[in-house]
Amino acid sequence: MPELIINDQTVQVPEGTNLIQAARKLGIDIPHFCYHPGLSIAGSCRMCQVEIEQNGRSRIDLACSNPATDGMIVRTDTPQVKKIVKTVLELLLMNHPTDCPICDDAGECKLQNYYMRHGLYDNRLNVEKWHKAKVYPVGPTISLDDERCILCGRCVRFCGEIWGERQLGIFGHGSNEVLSNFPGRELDNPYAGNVVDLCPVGALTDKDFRFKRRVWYLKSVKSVCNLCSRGCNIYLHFDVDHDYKDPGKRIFRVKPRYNGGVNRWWICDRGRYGYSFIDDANRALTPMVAGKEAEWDQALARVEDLIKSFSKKGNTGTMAFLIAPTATNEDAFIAMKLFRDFLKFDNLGYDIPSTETLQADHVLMTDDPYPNRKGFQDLGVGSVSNRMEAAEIIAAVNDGRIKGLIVAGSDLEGMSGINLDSIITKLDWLIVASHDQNLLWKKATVALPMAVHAERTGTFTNFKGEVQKFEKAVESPGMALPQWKIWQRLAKRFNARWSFDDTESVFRALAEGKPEYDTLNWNATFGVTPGLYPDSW
Amino acid sequence: MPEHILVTRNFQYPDQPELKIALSRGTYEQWKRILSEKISPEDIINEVKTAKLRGQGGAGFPAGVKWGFVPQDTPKPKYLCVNADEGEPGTFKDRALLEKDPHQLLEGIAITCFAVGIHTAYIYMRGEFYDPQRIVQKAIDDAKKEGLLGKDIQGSGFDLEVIIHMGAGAYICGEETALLNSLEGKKGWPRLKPPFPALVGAFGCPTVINNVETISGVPHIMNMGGEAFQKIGTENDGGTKLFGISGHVQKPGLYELPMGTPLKELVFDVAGGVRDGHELKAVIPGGSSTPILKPDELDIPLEFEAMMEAGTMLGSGAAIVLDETVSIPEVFMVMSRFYAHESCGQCTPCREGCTWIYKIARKIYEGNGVPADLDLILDLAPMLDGTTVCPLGAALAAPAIAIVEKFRDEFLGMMKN
Repeated sequence: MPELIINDQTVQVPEGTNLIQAARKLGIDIPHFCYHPGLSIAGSCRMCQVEIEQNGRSRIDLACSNPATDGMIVRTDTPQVKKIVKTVLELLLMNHPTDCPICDDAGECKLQNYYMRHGLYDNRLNVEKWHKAKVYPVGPTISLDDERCILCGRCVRFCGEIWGERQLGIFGHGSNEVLSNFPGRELDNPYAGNVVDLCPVGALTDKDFRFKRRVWYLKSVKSVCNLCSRGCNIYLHFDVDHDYKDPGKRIFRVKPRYNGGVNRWWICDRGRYGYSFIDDANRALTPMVAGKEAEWDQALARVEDLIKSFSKKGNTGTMAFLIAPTATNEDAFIAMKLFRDFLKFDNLGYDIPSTETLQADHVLMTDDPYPNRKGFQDLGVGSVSNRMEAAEIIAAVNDGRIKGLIVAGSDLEGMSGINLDSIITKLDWLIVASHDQNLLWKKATVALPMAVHAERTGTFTNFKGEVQKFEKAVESPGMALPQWKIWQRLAKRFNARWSFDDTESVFRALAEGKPEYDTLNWNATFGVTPGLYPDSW
Repeated sequence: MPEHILVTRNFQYPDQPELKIALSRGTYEQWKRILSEKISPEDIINEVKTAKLRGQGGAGFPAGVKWGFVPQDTPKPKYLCVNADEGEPGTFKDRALLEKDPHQLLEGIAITCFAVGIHTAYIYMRGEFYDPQRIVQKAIDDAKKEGLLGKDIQGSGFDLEVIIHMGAGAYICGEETALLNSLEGKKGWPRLKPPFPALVGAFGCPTVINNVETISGVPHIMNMGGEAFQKIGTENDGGTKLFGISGHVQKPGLYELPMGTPLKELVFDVAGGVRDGHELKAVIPGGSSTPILKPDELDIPLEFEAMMEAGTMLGSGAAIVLDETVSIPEVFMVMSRFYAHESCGQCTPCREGCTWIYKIARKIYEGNGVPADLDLILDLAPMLDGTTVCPLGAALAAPAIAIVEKFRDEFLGMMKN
């Protein structure tokens, strides 16, 4: 491990660590634009210049392209280094439109932040600025403002190196050079949104977020994407305190959260833009009994009656419980405790075909749209002796073997050849738990509104078996509850002896004696933080 | 004919590009001798080192030392790139070498490749060089037919393919790593160094990059011996150098002079001094990237180190002589426009800095300057030198500082107040 000295402080870093990373270990931030740890070294912004003394010789060089070596002495604070950094910043800003008041990146812009720390010069621009193309779409989701672009090329490298197709390029030469689409190509790869995160300025902006909120109004929680089995680590950025635009919208954007073992710095666009269901007008808000709004007690009393009416006659075999693996480990644990262990349901299933078919790719996407299939397997949801696949249960409904059905987290739309109306007529009763008013909602005997992941805490186990916790961002709307709480309340009605008060105690109960859950430190990481991004690079 | 004429010795014969004629005048003799006498590559490299042959493209790096950096135990192919992207304003020497004596260059290429163990050589030629391309291509074809290039040359088992690659007109592609990117079909952006081309060059393989003039000198070293070659020039700069002198002199043109010839002698004796009835105002000694000299600063030997010590550069040996009819602010405006236009745009200080300097120069030239503009240039220009990926920023910065400092009064004279 090379040991080096940066600004009089000694630090040891692994072989190959560059000077930006090494300095960061000491809490020293070396300013940079083009460098990003997930991309190749470009060395083109020239912002990260430092003084390097090596083998008795001193030179000014880049911190990004120079690996730390033993005995190196680095200074980031000499007058010469400071002057270079200040001048590079001045040069980057000289043609910049400085339209910060209307720029989405204001507040999380490197130009702004570095100006305060490394600039603070008086404007000495004595000539006219360049003018380049203003806002135009480079793809279906992203807008480009070439006057704001500082030509760091991060987006260009992302497309070429991470996705594998060059969709953006830097064209022309000299200072009228521009970032643009490769001729005939659009920025339409499934990871395109990452270029907005990578853009250190407001050149590439997300159409989904443009002008929706000032970033400093946003708050952030650590969450996990629930749209495929990768379980990418994300931040949910939300704001419930300002209503000058988009009434009812609470979640404003999803940003990747670094996890080296899961998603590195990236997320896919499906995950990035797939949050609109949270604040959708079609959310289920109130429990329904026979199509009429009801209190939780009324609704759950009805559910209790319906189940008892079967179980009293010894007809547990004519009831079935289907739970989609969109549910958390805690949901599944309580559901199993109630329906499998306590109410002795004979028919349990979770393998509900999704409406979406995913194609796994070389970056992050898996072919499984469910975030917690592995968690269900680990909890033994799938290993009950009388497990029935969703298709078998529906077949059993069709031929009259099953008369009472509970469906949680799905409207069965993804099942081929299913006629919901004919199924309903064959059932004595149908209980639906859903976050939205899905196709089954209005047909249900009893319908129970559920909170979504953004409204609660919980854990998913991704396809590699990593148990990951996510945090609550906003309150659930109306009377909606986390699924496990619904079943916990129902269990209480049945006088089950067990009771859990919060998600943590459910997690601790399900994790007990299972080393695979030890990786999760429940107490780590939490709380609401300012929603600025990027928080690190 | 002056005593020390090497690379231009056959310039007087219009038929020199003909292979048979060239052979009759001794071209390829050294190449054949190396193969027949089985002279070892190490001996050739040592001879070139002894000769103190400096890179003639402008940087002056010792050629033999550069060749020695190429690893010999690599499993990868090695390449030679001959830099024929002559674009430095004022320079017109490589074009003459390509057009007037292509076989001399090819012999130099062959010897260089043999010395370094290279089997593919590229000549990266400036896009506008239509005639040189035609002439050199014919020379390559003829030499191949004659068994001087190609497969199993002269029965030695040594193969060498020479390929011309035409540039597309960007000045920056004369920078060696931009040249490599362009050669590979990429945008002509210079690369970060290290790694240096000797280790990671064309297509990721070890590569020697030398100027046309440098390579053309190699057969003469083999002919006369390294020591004799060195003695023509100075202690550190062996042999001769081509000087293309242009501007307001009596006899503008291309001259081959021993390294170390005084700049004064080049301007006043060789080129005959300033045209009649006019007086010397300034000399830009080695292409537009070299800092300007005033008439009383010309007593410098034309060699790399001495020119550096005098605060300028030998550069490509292209001296531009200006008399009193020239407006220095105009020269500065035109010159900075060139660098602003040719900056590749990759890195910030050069991309934005060259343009800013040009815009200030234009502002002054148009009569809108203020004295503070000059101070801004003097403050800004040093930030373009040594802070960039390649030396293009420095190629404007150093001359800009010199011109503003040395002709400050003339700039001030253009300002209204």
